[in-house]
Amino acid sequence: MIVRSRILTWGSQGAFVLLWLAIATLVVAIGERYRYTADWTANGRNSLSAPSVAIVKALRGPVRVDAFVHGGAKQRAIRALIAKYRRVDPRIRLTFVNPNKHPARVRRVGITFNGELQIHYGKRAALVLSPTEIGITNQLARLERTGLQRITFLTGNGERGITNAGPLGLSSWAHQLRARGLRVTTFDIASGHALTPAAGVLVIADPRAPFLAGERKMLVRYLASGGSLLWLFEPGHTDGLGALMRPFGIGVRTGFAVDPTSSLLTGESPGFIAVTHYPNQDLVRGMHLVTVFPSAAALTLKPVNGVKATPILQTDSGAWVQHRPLKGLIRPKPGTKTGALTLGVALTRPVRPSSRQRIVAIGDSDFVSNAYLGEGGNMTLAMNAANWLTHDDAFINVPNRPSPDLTLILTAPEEDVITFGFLVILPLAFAGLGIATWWRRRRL
Amino acid sequence: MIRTIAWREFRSLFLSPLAFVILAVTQLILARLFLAHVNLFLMVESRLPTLPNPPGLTTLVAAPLLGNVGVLLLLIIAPLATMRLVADERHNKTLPLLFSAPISMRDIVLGKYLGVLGFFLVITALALAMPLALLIGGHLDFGMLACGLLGLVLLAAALAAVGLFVSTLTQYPAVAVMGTFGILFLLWILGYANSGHGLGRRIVATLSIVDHYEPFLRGLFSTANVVYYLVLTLTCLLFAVRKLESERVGA
Repeated sequence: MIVRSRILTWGSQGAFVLLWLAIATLVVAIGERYRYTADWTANGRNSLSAPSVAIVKALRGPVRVDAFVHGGAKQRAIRALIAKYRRVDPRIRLTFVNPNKHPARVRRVGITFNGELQIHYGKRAALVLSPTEIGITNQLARLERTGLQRITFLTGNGERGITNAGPLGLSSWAHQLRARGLRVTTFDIASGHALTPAAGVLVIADPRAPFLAGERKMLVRYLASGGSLLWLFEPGHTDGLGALMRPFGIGVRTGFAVDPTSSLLTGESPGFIAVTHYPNQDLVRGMHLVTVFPSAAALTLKPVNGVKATPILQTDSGAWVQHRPLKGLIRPKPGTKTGALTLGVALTRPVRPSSRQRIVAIGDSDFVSNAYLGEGGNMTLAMNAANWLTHDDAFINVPNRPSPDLTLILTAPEEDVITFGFLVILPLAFAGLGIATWWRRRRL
Repeated sequence: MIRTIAWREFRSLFLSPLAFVILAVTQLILARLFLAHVNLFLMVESRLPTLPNPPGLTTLVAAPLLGNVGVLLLLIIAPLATMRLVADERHNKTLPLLFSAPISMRDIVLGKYLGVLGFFLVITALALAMPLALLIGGHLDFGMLACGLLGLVLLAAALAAVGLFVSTLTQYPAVAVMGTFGILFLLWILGYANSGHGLGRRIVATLSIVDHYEPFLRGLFSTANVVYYLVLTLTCLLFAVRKLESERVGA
């Protein structure tokens, strides 16, 4: 009898426990599904900024984000970041790919950093170098906005090759351009075909052989028709293209740029130039990374009617140009003029009533080469240049939202009171009370 | 009636040196961590304005401190403070006295629960005093702090309930300590296994006690996390009541 009733009670208890656990699970699941979230921080740290919300709301289809990331802390950070986007549009999905487990996929996609994201939208995909709101929002906007952009590397006169995987080659950059959704092709100037603006953006990177008269004419015609150009050269290499840029007011100073303050930063010879500050121009706006240029030539700018040229890369004011490569000397020869040198120029010129021609000239080719592309902000600069030249530069600036509690000023006595009060006096007081209790109990 | 039991339970905690030892050690550890966070903040303070969306004093000092309190409560304080709640009564054979008293089991469980929760709130208040002391020389993001505090109180409520339930299962406080510690630690490290995929990962993440706490610390309020803690608390309290009721009927 007793045994039977016990089994009965146990049975009913067990049934109750199971039933309740089922109900509890259901409630938690419903709570997960239909949740209300609110950001209680003063500066909205856990929410997207208004420009990002606008971009996400304009998306017409689902977005898949593949995060190539290894490590728990980084995963959590990326999940929290994407969660901000998911709260605006739940159709954005996030999957993690462990780069160590999928090396083939990492190579195929062109991942270079731990924490890089690949965003899929519609049939297109693009990489985001650093997982930040500004990076993701701009890449989403770009995917939403543009068709396929093309970038054409000129060949035929000893230019740096996009298949050259050596330290001076451009294979890494070409790979990254493709990974970011650009079509990368080459054009042999000796092929006999005409160069048309259909080439997209033309890149002339450090040609070693002088151009022939006919080839020059072809380039002049290309520029006159409004084609975009990225012109990268190297000091000491003459390509005979100086005349090409004269109508735009750009000249190249013979010799090597030398900037002693750069060597303080890089620890290299002063011919190795580092640029730390950038003007407020679309191509370099918001950049705060150091870009490095191993041996660069300086440019001169002359105002030309109708051309709007802006220096985008400039050295410190103590720089100068000298004819021979630098050897140990860190002082200008007597009589040399020092001042800030311009290493890069971005210019626009209206060609037709509605469109503008864009040209970027930079006095160094090494910064995009395989050996230096990964240094500092070089990759960002190279990508920005490509985006700007493809007219894909409607940069969405995410407003900065600082916390209201950025400062803490304590006087020395205040600091002492806080330190001793919390670290010494309070614990001692509790320990004293504990001893007193123990003493009282012992006497009882 | 509940209030009388709660008050008695709260006071009886302070009759033994254990509560004071817990307070002294907790305060020492938390103060050390707090000062370390403050030092870190002072070190990076000058660089903060140059960062995009820079974090402030609340993010860098108050939130980690509340996180530390949560961990201390979970790993040490909750198992220790709740071990004797019912197990001791059973061990001292005073449980039949409670059973024969004209009080419902619900009142007894709630009373004991609120008593120990009061102790957890004292610890929370101690921890909260430290970031508030910084108001002499700075500002705090009160919305974020309130969110973190709400999360800590919900976490403490759930921890006390788990401990109380485990304490009703045994007559040995040492077994209750180990049991509570085991359950809570398991619920904690579940969050570490978040490398899985799909449904399994989501179930694990839903069960993890820390994954629900962390959003509160970031100032992100979500009803899903509130529901999780309330359900966990309610389940443990209900099971504790049922356990004692069946025992009373059996006796």
